[in-house]
Amino acid sequence: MKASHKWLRDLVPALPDDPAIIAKAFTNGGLEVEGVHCFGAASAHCIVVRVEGFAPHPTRSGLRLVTVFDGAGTRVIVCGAPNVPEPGGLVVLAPLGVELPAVSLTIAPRAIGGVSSEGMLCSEKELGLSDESEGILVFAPDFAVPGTVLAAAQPCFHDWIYELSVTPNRPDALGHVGLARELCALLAIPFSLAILSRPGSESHVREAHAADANGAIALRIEATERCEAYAYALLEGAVNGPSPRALRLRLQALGSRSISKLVDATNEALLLFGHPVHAFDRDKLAGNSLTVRVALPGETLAGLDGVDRTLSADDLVIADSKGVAALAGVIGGSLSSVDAGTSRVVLEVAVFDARSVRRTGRRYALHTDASHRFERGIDPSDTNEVRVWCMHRMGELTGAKVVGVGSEGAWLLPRRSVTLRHERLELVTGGPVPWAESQQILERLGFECSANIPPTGAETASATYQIPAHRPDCSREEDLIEEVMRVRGFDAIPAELPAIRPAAEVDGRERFFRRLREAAVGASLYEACCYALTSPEKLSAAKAPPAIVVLQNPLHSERSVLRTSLLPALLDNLAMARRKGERDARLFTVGRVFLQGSGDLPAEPMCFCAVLSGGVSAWLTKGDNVTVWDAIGLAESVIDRTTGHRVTVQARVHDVFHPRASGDLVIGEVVVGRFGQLHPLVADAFDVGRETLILELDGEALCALPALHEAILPLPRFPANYRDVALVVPSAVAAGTLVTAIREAAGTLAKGVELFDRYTGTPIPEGHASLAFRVVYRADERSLTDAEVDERHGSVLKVIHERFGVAQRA
Amino acid sequence: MSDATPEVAPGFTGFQGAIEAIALGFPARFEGAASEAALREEKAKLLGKKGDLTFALKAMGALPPAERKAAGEQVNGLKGAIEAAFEGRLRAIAGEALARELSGPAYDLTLPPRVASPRGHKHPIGIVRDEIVDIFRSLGFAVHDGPEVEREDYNFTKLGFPPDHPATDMQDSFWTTSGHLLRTHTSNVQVRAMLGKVPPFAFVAPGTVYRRDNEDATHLPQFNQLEAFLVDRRVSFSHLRGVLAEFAERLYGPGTTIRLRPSYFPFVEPGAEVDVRCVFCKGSGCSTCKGTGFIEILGCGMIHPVVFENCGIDPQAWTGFALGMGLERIALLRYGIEDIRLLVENDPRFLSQFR
Ligand SMILES: [Zn+2]
Repeated sequence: MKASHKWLRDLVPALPDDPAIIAKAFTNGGLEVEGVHCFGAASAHCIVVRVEGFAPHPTRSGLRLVTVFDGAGTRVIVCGAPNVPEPGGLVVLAPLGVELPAVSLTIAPRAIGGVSSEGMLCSEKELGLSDESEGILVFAPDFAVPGTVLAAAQPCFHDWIYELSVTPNRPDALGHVGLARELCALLAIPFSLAILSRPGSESHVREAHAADANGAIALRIEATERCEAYAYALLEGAVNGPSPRALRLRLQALGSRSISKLVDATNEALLLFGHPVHAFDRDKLAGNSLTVRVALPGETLAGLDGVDRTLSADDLVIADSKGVAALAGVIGGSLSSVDAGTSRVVLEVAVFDARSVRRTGRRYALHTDASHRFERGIDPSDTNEVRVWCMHRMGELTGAKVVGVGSEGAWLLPRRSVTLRHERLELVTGGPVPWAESQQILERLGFECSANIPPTGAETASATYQIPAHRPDCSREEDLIEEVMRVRGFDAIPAELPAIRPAAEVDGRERFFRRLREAAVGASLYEACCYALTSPEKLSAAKAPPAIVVLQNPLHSERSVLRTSLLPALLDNLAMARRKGERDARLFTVGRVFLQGSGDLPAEPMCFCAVLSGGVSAWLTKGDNVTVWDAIGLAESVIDRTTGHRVTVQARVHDVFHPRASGDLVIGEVVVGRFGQLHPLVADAFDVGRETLILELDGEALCALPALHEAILPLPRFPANYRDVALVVPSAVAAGTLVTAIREAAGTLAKGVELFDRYTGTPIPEGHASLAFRVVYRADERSLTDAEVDERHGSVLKVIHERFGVAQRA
Repeated sequence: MSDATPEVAPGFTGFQGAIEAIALGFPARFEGAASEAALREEKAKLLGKKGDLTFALKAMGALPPAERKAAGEQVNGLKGAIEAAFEGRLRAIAGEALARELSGPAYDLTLPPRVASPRGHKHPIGIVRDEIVDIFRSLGFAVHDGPEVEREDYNFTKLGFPPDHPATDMQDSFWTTSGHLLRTHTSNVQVRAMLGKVPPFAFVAPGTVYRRDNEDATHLPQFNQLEAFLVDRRVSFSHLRGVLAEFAERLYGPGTTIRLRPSYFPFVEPGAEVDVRCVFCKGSGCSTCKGTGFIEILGCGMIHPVVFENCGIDPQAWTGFALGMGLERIALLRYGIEDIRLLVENDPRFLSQFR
């Protein structure tokens, strides 16, 4: 909403003439001022001058040398405008040094064709007063004394415009009357709209009523639930044409294009009262009736915007005896619109249902100044006031006379009343609020106090207020409290930290998932933040379960379902990094996936997914590429750091993984995740490297693991003995099997078996590997002798040899 | 000197001669040993099983008994002298070795450091989220979550949105084929907490929300919010101000001031928008704050009595406040990120910049 500083002060002359004060008051009161712009900034620096004479330019055809008198002396101006008036006429001069922001120009001394110009004669466009203009501004000789600053000669040339962000609960702030009332309440200035009342207006309406006895127009509201009231006035004898400059510039300043006197009068009424009005050309309406009804099947309307629309049976329309003349509260029809030749006018002031207007506006993607206001709910009580003002204004501008008025429905509705308790006011505020001050504030806003009950014994003081019709947002005690608080200012309220009783323990999950993310970061991973919106194709390419949550109205097909796996988004990120030349990436994300739930809503379990690609870090040597053992190591490290549990690996083929490098992660009986090298075809589908490793963890399963016993084990009291064994085995023999076999053979004295070296190549035969294990022998209650350890180790070797047919390597 | 050894022969003269030869010879032999190993070798030649002194001791048996005692003392004395000289030379050799080691060329400290496991990085949204959650946890709020696929009732109706509110439109919110919607804010957690728990309670609810905005430099259809709310007896607006002031100082540093402007959200009354004094220009006005000296960071207000009523809580007995903020906005401002899409691209070169 744009608001004019000058117009507000026209309505309430007592308002301060300082845009900074007004803007601050608006913002602090809840109508945020997003900007204050100067309209006609250059008008404050340009002066009205009198043309004394002119001569052709010595060298340039099309240019003239204009001699002007600026009140003190004469100057010669080089000018190309065709409309320089005869001597005695007045024009506007931008003297040297003046800035014209509208055309990004600063007037500097400059020779044009060898003649130096002492300034520039300006058009409205150059002064920033209109978007286009033909020729320079010209005034009659009696307009002002030469030398007068333009802004002082006539106020319409200069204004301050507030850009207000009006919240949807404040329809009253969508007109200058409501804004003036709000400012008066905020600045404690008495408010009266006496300035708007026209002497004799009421009798004017009465006379018109009498004239209307002839039944100028038969009015009928069929859709009564969508139109509370409809009032019209019929005017005759209008001479339409361009609006006077003051009106034209006021509309321009507020972003509304001037069209003609009759149309401009309706726009002025809208900007003044926030109540949209519409004008029909009476001679273009068929028959003598107007009906407010819903559209009939197949009805169409050629809109004022030049678009033909076939209407819906849900659209509220104004119809004449032939068909639809306007979409109620949204847009008029071009066939019934006023034009330059209009002399008979039907002025419409109505109250249309907000939801009905909103649905129609949405249906045709139409957002007009009128629909914007109807959608938020207009004040019905000013219906007659707006009609009187607007018909008067049309008369003033065009000479039209009112020949008939009529109305249906009721616009003066009974007011609701609400009781405010002093105690409640202070409780919600959290500090003392003088009772009398609250009453003054509410009355300034238009709330009338109908009963004020002083405190008695245990009862707090209370007061009952009538809610004004322009505040449809207020209906209960809290609404009154809010009004008092915002007008007093939030800064008047002291700040106090509440004493919060510790809540029941509900954030164990927060701690767990924080640990999980921090463990991943500790394991050199980069945290990613991924879209949960994906496509069925992506899920299928990543071999994820089909989506459960499907959108009715996706923005596009690539984000049409919620993910069932975190993998596709990470692979997309990886592919993007790869296209940018980044081949090393270690990303993880923790988030929800959306699966079939037990009720009507989906289950939203937390998952972890990591993708590894590229090299592993090594010092001063080219590191290896990541392998499946990096994924397992990552799993072990992350799970250990998060839960303290040790995870075991079980080979299992998953579709999404390379069948040779795919497995589950198990703790006890619970599968807590899976890992693998990405299947080459999946890698190709996502355009990522084939050596991409994946780790997926089930966040819920990990979070639900029992806590580990926390007591520590006693330290060993006796030293350990170590024996190594290197075995040459066929590659098909899994190292883990040997570890288990060695541990079993070594019995309870073996406290650990560790594979510490694996070697293939000469002199190891093809298809074989040399595996070196270290066995740790220790007894809990005594020192072992070398002989004892040798004997036990010898029997281990014998068992391994018998079971696997392999010998210890020399 | 070792050439002298074969001359030592059994007999009285032989014993004395051998002792004297040893006594005269060992200092030079030790001095000539350049390494610890050479030194120990020399010592073994003197004192070992086949060493010179051992050989001399054997010759002592040939002496008349009366002379043996003196000879024994003589041998012991010599042995002690040898041991002492050995220790001295050993220390000297160690000293020389250390001096050599210390005076060698300096290591090349410009080689890259050897890091056991290079650091990972949190996502900027994760950093901001954790920091803000921790501020509220330290103030007594516990973390609570709620579903991202939500009933219209919990996302809108119970929060007091009128049935035809623009936010409920197909235009602005994502609806699922089963008639639910992707939550448009984290305020659904308020409803979930109020329906499931008896006040008093104080919760903080970070989470992902969805709005039907096309992706561009300032919009994502999916982003993150954080909501905090307190319900108790006699919670007032001044408590809200207290929490906001504390929050602003902890997030933006001591002395950060805030400004509250009345505003409107359907589920609070009174409602306010909160600006913090611009952290870049300290209030004097800059491009980030568009010259106003303030930056808007969150919306808040007293929980609307209608919300309490819709959730079965008596608004006369309980009051509360709620506040909510967008985490992306806070992260963009903090890190000077000009395109919000960087947050979901997860380019490693972008992520590696966050500490
Ligand atoms: Zn700033």
